[in-house]
Amino acid sequence: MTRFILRRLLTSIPLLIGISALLFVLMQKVPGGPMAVYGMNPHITPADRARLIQAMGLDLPLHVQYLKWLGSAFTGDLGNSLFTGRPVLEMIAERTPNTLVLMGISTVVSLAFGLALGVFSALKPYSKFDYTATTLSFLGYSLPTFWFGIMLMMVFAANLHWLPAGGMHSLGQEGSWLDGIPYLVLPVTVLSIVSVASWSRFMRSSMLEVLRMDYIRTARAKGLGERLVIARHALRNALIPVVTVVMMAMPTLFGGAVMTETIFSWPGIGRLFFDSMGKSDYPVMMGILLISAGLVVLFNLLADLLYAMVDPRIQLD
Amino acid sequence: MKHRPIACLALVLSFLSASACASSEAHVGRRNAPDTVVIRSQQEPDKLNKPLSNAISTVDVCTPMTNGLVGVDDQMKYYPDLATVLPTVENGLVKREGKGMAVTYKLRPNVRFHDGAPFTSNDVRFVWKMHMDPKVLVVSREGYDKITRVDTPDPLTAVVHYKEPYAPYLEMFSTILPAHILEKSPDINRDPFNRAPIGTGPFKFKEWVAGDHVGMVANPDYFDGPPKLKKLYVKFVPDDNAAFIQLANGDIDVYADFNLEQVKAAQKLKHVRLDNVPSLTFEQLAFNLDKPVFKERAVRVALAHAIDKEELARTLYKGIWPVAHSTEHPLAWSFNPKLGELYPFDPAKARAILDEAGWATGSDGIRVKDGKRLSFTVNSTAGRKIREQVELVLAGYFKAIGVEMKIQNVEGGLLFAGYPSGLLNGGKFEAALYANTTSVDPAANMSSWHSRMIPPTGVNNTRFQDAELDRVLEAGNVKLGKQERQPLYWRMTEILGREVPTIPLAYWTEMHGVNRQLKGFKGNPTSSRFVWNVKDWTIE
Repeated sequence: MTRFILRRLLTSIPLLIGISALLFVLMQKVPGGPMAVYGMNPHITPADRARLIQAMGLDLPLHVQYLKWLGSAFTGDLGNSLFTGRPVLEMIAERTPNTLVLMGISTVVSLAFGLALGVFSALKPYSKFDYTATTLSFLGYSLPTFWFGIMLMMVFAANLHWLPAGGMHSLGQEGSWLDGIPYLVLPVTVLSIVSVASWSRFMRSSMLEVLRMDYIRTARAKGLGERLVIARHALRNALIPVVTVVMMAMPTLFGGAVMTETIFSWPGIGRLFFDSMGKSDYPVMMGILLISAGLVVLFNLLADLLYAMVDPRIQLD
Repeated sequence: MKHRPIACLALVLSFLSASACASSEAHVGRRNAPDTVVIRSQQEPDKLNKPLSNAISTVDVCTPMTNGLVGVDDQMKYYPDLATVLPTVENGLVKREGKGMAVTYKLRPNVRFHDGAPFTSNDVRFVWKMHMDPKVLVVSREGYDKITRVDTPDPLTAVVHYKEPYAPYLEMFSTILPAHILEKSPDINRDPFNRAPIGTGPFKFKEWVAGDHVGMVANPDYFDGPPKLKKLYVKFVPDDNAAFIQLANGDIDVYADFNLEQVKAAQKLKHVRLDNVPSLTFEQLAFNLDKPVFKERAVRVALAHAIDKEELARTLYKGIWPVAHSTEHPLAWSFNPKLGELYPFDPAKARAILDEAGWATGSDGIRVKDGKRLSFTVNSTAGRKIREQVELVLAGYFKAIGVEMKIQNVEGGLLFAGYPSGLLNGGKFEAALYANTTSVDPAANMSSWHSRMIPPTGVNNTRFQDAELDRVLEAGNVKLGKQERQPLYWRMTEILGREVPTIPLAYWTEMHGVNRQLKGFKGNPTSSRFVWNVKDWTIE
C-alpha cells in the first residue's frame, strides 16, 4: 500500500510539471495579454508601456518566464499578481474559506437530496415518482446556470424581497455568520440543482444494479425485513461506485463555480479566476490552475485508496 | 395521493409567478441604513493608490478619500481643491522661466491627513518624486517627466519647475499622497498603504473585504466641513444583470455606467432616476491610412457622406447618444462651433465623388478601379450588441454607394492590445469601429494625431500624417492660456474634418441609475467621475 502511494505521488510530479507548462504556454498564446487593459488609456505613453512590460518581466523569452515561475513554485512561492502586486498564495488563501463554505454546503445538500432521490427512484423504478424525478433531473441538469441564477434572483430578491440578491453579508455585518445565511440560499440552490440531478441518476442506476444481485435475493429469502435488506445490504454496496464519483468531484470544492460566484457576487476562488482572466493576470491564473490540478491528482489517489478499503476484492499492490 | 409531486410543483410554480407579478410594483426605496450609500462597481480595484492603478474602479474608491491640488467639476471647469487658487499666467502664478516654466501653488492651510499629520508642500514634491522613482510602478509619467524640480520655500507653497512649457499643467497632482508614510516605504508597489490608504478626503478608509466591497466612514475633521453621509460603500458586482436586480431591490443606490440595452428596463423602476451625463468618449469609424484603399481621400469623404448619423442616433443609439461631427466634444473649449456638419447624409453626392475618382460600378454592384474592388474589412469588439448592429447598418449604407464592407469582430483585448500584437496599434486593420476618449485638456490630441506618434512611438492608430497639423499640435502644447491655444485647436478640428482619418458617429452618454432618495449626485464627464462631489450627497 505504501509503495503504491509513493509511486503514485512520484509519478504525479512530472504530470503536474507537464500540465503547468501546457497551461503557461496556452495562457500566453491567448491574444491580448496583461498590457491590453492599458491599451486605451491615452495617458500611457510608449515609454510607460515599455517600462511596465520590463517591470512585469513580460519582455523575457517565454521559456525563461516559465522556468523562473517553476523555480519559485518549487519553493512554494507562486509569485505575485501583476496588478495587485500581492503574493498569489495570499490572494488565494483569502478567498478559499468563502469558496469552501459555498461549495461545501452545496455538496452536502446535493449529496443528501441526490442520493435519497436516487435510492427511492430505484426502489420503485418506472413509477410516477421515478418518472417525475427523472424529468426533473434532466431539467435541472440542462438549466443554464447563468439564466437560472438570474431568474431565481428576479423572483426571490427583486420581486418577493425574501432573499438578498448577491454578496456574502449585509454591508457592515461581516462578523456575524447568522447574517450570512440568507445570502447562501440562492447560490446553494443553483449549484445543488445540477449536482442533485447527476448524482441521483448515478445512485439510481447503481442501486438498480445491486438490487438485481443474488445476495439481495438471498437476504430476502432468509426472511430479512425489506428495510434491513435495503439499508444494510443494497445501499452499502451501491455506494461503492458512488464514492469514486464523489471523490472526483471534491477538487471542484476548491475551484469554486465561476458562473455562480460571478452572478451572485460571491467573493470566492471562481470569481478571482474570472477577474484574473479578464486582465490576463498570469500568476494568479497559474496559481489557481496548479492547485486545482494538484487536487485532482490527490483526490484520484484518495478515490483509489478508498475504493480498495470499501471493496475488499480490489488489491492495490 | 399518487399525483402529489406534480400537484406540489404546479402549486409552487403558480405561487411564484403570482407573487412575482403582484409585488413588482410594491417595493420602492432602499434597503441600506439612512446615512449609508452603496455604489456598485463592476470591477474590484487592484490597489487603492491612484497613480499605481489603471482601473476605473480605483478612481471610484479612492476619490472620496483623497484630494488633488486642482479638481474638475461637472461643467469641465478646473477649481482649486488643495490649492487656494488656480495658477494661471494672468494671476502671475505661471511664469516663463528660460526655456521652461514655473507653476506656483499656494496651498490650503490647516489640512490634515486622516492620521492627523498636516498636509504640506513636501507632499506635493513627494508625488513628483514617486512618479519618477524607477522602482515605483506608476502607470503613467505623462507631464511629471517634464518637471525638473519642485521647490518648497515654505510649508504652504510649492513651486513646480518644468523644463519646457507644458500647457495641461492643471491636470498634474490630481492625487496627493502622504509623504510622511510613503517616503519611508521600502517598496511602494507592495506597501500595505495600497490596501488601506490614508488621504485628506471627506471619507476615511475603513475596510476592504476582498472580492466584496470597500467601506469608508465620514471624516469629521474634513477641511471643508464633514460630509453629510456617515458611511460609503463601493460594492463589487461583476454581472450587469445581477447589479440591475440589486438596484431594483434597493441594495445598491448608485449603478454607474448603464449600457444602452438596460435603459428601457431602468426607466420602469419608479425609485430610480437615470442621470445622463455627456461623455468625452465618442464612437467612430477609424481608417488605417496606410492601407491602399484608404490612401485616397475621395473614398473617405464618400463614406462620410454615405452614413445617416441622425438615423443611427435615433434608432440604435436610442436617442441617448447625440450625433458627433467632430473629434472634440461640444462642451470642450477646443470644439470648433463654426465647423458644423461637413459631410451631410447624401448618398447621391457620395456616388458622384466615387465616379469622379474613377471608381466604376462593377458587375456585382461593387465599384472597381484598376482591377481592384472597393472593399474593406471592419474590426470591432465582439459581443457588444449595439456595435454589431451598427456595423450591419453601415454595411448597408456603403453597399448603396457601391462599397463592400466585411465585418470581422474580435475579442476586445486583441483589438486594443499594444504594439505589435494589437490590431489597432499594430496596424493590422483596415477600418475599425470603436470608441476614442479625449481629455479635458486638448493637448492629449498630440498622441492621437501627430505624425511622430505613429506606433510604436504613440497611439496615432490611423497613421495620419499632416505637416500643418503637426505644427499646430506642437504649438498647442507649449502655448499657455486658453486664449492663445483655442485658435490652434479650432484649426486642428478643421484639418481633421477635411482629411477624414476617422468618422465620428456619436458621443457617448454616461447613464447612472441613482436611487431617488439620494440627493446631490452630479455626474461628471471627466475622469473625476461621479464621485467627485460625494461630500455633498445626502439621503432624504
